[in-house]
Amino acid sequence: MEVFTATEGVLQLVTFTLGSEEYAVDILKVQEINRMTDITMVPNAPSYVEGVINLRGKVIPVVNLRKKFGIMDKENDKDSRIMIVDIRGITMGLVVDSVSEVLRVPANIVEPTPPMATDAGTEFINGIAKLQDRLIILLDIDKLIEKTGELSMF
Amino acid sequence: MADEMDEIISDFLIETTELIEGLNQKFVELEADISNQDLINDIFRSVHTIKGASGFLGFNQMVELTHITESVMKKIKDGDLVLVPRVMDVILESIDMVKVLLEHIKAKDGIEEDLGDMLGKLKAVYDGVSADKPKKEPPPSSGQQDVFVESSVPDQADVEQELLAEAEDEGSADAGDEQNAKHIGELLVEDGKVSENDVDDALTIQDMIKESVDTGMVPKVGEILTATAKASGEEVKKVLAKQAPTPEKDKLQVEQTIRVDVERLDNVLNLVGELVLARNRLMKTSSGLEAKFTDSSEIALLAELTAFINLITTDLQLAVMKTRMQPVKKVFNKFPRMVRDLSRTMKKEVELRLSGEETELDKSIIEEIGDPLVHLIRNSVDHGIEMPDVRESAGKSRHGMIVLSAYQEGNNIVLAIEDDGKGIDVEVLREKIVEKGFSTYEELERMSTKEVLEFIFLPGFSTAKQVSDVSGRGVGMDVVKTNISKLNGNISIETDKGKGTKFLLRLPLTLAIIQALMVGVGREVYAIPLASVVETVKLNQKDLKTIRGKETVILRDEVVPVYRLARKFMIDAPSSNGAERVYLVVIVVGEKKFGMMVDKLFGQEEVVIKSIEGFSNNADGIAGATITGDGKVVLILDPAVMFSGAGQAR
Repeated sequence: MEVFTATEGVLQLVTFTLGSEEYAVDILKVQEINRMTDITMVPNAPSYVEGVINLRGKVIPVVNLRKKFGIMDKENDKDSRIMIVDIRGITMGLVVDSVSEVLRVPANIVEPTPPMATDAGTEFINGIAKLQDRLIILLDIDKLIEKTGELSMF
Repeated sequence: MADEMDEIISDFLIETTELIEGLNQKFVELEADISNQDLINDIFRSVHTIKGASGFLGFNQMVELTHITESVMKKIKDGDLVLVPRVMDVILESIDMVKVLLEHIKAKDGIEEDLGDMLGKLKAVYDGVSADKPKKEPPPSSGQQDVFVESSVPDQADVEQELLAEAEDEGSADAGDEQNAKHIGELLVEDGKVSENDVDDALTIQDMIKESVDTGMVPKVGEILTATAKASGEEVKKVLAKQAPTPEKDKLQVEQTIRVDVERLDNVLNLVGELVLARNRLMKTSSGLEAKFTDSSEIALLAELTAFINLITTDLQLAVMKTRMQPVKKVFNKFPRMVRDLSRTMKKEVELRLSGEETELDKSIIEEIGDPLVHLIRNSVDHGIEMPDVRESAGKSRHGMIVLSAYQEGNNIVLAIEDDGKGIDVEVLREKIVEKGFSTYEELERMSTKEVLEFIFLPGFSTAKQVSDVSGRGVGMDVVKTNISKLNGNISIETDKGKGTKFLLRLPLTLAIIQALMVGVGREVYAIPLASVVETVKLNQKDLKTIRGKETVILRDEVVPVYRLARKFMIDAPSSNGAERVYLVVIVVGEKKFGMMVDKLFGQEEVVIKSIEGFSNNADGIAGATITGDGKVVLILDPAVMFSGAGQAR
């Protein structure tokens, strides 16, 4: 299954950082990127659910990717961003350390995931793009929500 | 009156078109999942609704067609008929025919389609003689079609297919040509062959025949004129040839109003909400600047503009809210005609009285109550009001009376349908319930009359002995109940045997806005629906008593269990670790009272309920969320879930 938009063998990605690693998602999945806002806590939700925010009158959940991937938690700072993505029709926010850039990479430099390579659970990883001096982990964000749909979120 | 009628018909057209669009999709779904009872029920209801609506508007062909389609669906629903693709083909074809008929109604051309073939096919499916060709009398105006039927060759499947193709060809040709053609009568009059009176006579004869003949085998006007020797066969033929397509007629302007998806209105409402927030910030900044630079003319201009924007925004907000409110008159208007027609068909004398038509309701509610009301009023006429003679011998006036009223009651709008008919015989109802296997006598014995009456709303329950065009298939009442509960409303019955029945629909004024009590726990704020709040009490920790390990408080000699919201939600807050002064919100769920301990009370507010994206509702007592004036999200609690068994276990 091709989850990344490849136009003539070129992938368009939005890259962001979590801890020391660089991740990327398909640009078409990203709706917008916002600065941190007040997040309302949702009681008894899984720990990686940061809470809910007001996105122009819509109430959407926000997931902390660090917590979801088991990376050590850190205080949100001025670089922290909420990336608004569309996962199987559900709009949600992902808290990331910082958003780097929009990148075009040739599809043929993407290599399959080596086993146990990263902090993120390998099931969310689609492959790894090797640029000159960078390794970018390609995330399959559709897998963030399991097949059972929204229920596993909360 | 003519305008009103047009409006009703255009509503009917829009609704039916929507239903048919839906049907096509549902059938496709059903083909993939044949055993899906919910889907079958859904389809059955749609067809039923189309039938009902066409019935009271007097579109007889539509009723004929949908009635038999419905019968076929009923068989499928009951499992008497297996939905093989061939059956599906026929049903789909009948749906297409409904579309053709709709086009005729839209074009106001009064053209009747030849339904004989279609009805025959449906009947064949219904009777289960599926393999045979449709058993029907050839229409009197024998055409090519009959040749096919009579020259039945051994390979029947082939013949059937050809028949199908033939029928389709003819159908589409008819629809295309005749829509724009002048009526034969008009042409004959124009040519001076016959007088207008003669044509009128012929039309009357045609109508009479239509009424006596079940299927669509109605002789053409030309044939009648020939038969009654008003015009010769040749003349008719000549003019028929002239009956060529004429330039497209001005079609009835179907849409006087625009139906807008509620979602779009919601979207506008949301955007206006955002605008209000932005305006608030703008005003703050502007007044700050004004205080800083008192003598700048530019700042004065900015302040002026800000004030203007403020005004517009407020008006805009009101206007958007108003677009969602409509008087119930919109729905009520179609009922007098419906009751008149119904009572005529059933030879009853019924008068409908309306009151409170000006009462305004949210648009989405207005749109949804039409169907339930149609069902309820039909029921009242059909089952409630007795025949005039019966009424007379019971000492009532021959005239039955149905009162349809709307009024506001607190935060609710109540719609009442009251008839002075025979009422519901609870004993008969009990027997029926047992007979249908919904319950046993022993169980019913323990139930109150009100509870027994509730059975009426179960799917598949109908006390009518005979299936009629009007009601009695047992789909009506459960549709009513489902639709009303979808709107957060409820329905109740009051009945007095021999004196009449009253249905009360209680609906919220609007779907989206509720009164809530804002409370604070630690740094979090929550909204509690005011409807379930009894009172708030200021409390000292020492007032708390522990009974069997549970914290309680005694309020006016009543023991009320106390739950600390902070502990339940695992929030670090004064009220969770023994602060001196806390507040208690006393909530009633069902008949029971609970105390919810919080840190602060912020007061009462009107909040707009919003669902949370991807949030599976009612988990952990969160009913939804709302956005406060400063743009923050506040969660709305659902006390019913919080204090039900599961909630307490925590």
